[in-house]
Amino acid sequence: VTLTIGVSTVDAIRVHARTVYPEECCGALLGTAGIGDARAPAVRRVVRAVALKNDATGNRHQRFSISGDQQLACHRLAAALSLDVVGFYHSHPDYPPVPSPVDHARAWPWYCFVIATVNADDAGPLRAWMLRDDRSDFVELDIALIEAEP
Amino acid sequence: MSPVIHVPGPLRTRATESSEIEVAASTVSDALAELARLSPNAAPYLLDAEGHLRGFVNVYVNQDDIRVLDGLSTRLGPHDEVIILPAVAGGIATLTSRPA
Repeated sequence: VTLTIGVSTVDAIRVHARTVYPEECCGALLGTAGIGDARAPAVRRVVRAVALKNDATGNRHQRFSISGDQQLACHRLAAALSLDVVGFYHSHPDYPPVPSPVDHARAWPWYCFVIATVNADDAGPLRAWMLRDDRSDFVELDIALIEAEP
Repeated sequence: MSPVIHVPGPLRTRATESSEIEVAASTVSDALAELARLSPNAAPYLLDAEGHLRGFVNVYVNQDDIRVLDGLSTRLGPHDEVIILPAVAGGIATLTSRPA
């Protein structure tokens, strides 16, 4: 599975991660899912990253949560743009951009999960993941960077 | 005219391959049961073994979370929308060591 995402969108996620450091940032990824078998589309194309508020009630340095109301607003925005919510992003402050056990426990298949590692100096490269349908593990996605949004 | 369920991607691919389905349902419980009937694989994401709404899923009727309405007993009219959304959360809190 390949994740296609614009350079400017990646930059926006990294800026968000730096801005809220040392807390975890989070947001939604709006775009399209398609090309390939309908039950396992081979491509996720991200058109827009929507920065959201981390609604975790405590320890936002190591936890993130997205409220239902924010999710509903993203759903409405995506529908208005004829897009879909195809995934979510969050940051791992001072920790590698790999899914944690908590990420694993709370993830749903089909969505792409983009994780940015960030420290006090800068945000590192992003990595993208998708939970297998049987929930056994994540598969890392290839990230295809494009210069302009489609 | 019947209530419409907005199905998120993970359940859509298993259930209907459509983002919206009309259901003949008078309550949220009926609507989710119909979705589960269409896609048995979707059922574990919606309800637990006792038939309660799972904590990791949010269900809205129009603009309102059913947890502040009448829960699964919330009644539906012909123009209502039922929106199913994952409760997204995560983080590194429980980790005690860095992965290799």
